[in-house]
Amino acid sequence: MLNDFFWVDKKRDIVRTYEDLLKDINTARVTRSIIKDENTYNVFLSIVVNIVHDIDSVIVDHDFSGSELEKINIKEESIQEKIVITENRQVTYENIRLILQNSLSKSKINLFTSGTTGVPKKVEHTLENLVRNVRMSEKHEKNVWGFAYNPTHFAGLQVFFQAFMNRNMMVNIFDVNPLDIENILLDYNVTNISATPTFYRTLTPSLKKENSNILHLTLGGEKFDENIKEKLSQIFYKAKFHNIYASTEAGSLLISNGDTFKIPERFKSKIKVSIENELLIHKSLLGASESLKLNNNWYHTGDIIERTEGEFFKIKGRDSEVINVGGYNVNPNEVEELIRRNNFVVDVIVKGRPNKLIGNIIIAEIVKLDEVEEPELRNQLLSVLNENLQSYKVPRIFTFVEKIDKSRTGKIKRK
Amino acid sequence: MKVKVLEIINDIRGKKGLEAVEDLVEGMSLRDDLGMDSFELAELTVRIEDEFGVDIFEDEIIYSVDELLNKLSNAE
Repeated sequence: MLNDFFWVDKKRDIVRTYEDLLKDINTARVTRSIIKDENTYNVFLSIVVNIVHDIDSVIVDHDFSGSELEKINIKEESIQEKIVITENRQVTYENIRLILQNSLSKSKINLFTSGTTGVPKKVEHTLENLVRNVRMSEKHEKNVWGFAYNPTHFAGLQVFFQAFMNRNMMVNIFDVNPLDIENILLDYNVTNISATPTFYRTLTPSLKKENSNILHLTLGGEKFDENIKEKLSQIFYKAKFHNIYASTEAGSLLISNGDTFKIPERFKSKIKVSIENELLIHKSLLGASESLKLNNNWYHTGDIIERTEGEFFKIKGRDSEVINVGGYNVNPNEVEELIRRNNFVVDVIVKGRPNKLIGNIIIAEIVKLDEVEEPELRNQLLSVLNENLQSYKVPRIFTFVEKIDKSRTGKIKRK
Repeated sequence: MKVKVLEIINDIRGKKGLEAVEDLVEGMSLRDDLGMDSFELAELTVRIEDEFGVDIFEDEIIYSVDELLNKLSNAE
């Protein structure tokens, strides 16, 4: 029965049914607490195995470099450390749902966020935080998901739990050539996709055929984009659109059908707007982290809102140094720190330059010593940056300037 | 103009170890034929804007060499 597929990844030639998944869970004799895997199926499998055996998970991007891991205090050796499973807990799909429900406050899943001061922050979520917005009903049982997020990020886990709890099939379209996606969506009767506006913008030029299977399209991780919504609604003409506001620190909080949000009744005492129009989240909604800075129990998101009508508002932009590149957050301090290590560099500022396709593009302005030529220095920097950073963090443009504009406080001006 | 665009494209290709292309041919897709991902397409537009003063994504996002060159010659 087609509906019993759990995970289809054509790129890696992986097809797993729920039965296969259960078999893999029940026959697992070792597991790892730190999950770093290029294959999304293995990430999901490890998460569930760890929940079943009361082991906390730490999920890291598979393309983290040695120095990026060092910053978050993870040693290469500890990733390889195996935990032997001694207890024989055989699970079925029915009791695994129960186990999940019983582990809500017990099971911990750790994720990383880009941080605001140069060091990525670890945020510990209870399973409860992760499944807060999972909806289960007969209606949801027929959904088929196009999986379009990095599985190590909050949004990816959200889709995974939503699909898993409703016994839905997921089809990988995340790291797939956009040219192949149109047929994958049609072949597997995909009904739901949740992705960043950048993902959709990259996908649409390859879509030639109308698709009546898609019923729900969710946009998240970046500013809502009316243009792409219009394009998508021509191809996926039956789709309803949803906009989601989520963060690694707090998980998904606000969901709407357009570009405006309203604080839902159940969060009224936990989400508020400051007089500076910044969105604030109460501690009780956050994952635990030693490095999240709170002000009287409120977390300052850095997201600035604009009131539209009554209780409704739009996310206008960020008052924070973090730069959003295609749904990924880049901390400019982390990039500057690496560039400064080069002896020919006198001063540097890393900024985001607005871009229609991916939101922002990372650029670096550099003051250099005279004894090095620009192309030579650019190549030196690129080789170090590519080796030490995930590719979306590496500046695409280097400009060499006489002086970097600083404000009176001596703080670098990024805008 | 075409020579400069080719130079920019080859520079971007070079950064990820792809061979330089000799010419820009009609019908080429920036993504499928020239191997550009969304980050590289974004870089291309920024560099073209700096070189020619034209934001090629201003009205809509373009994906082919023809559209790119048309946009630039119309703006001249």
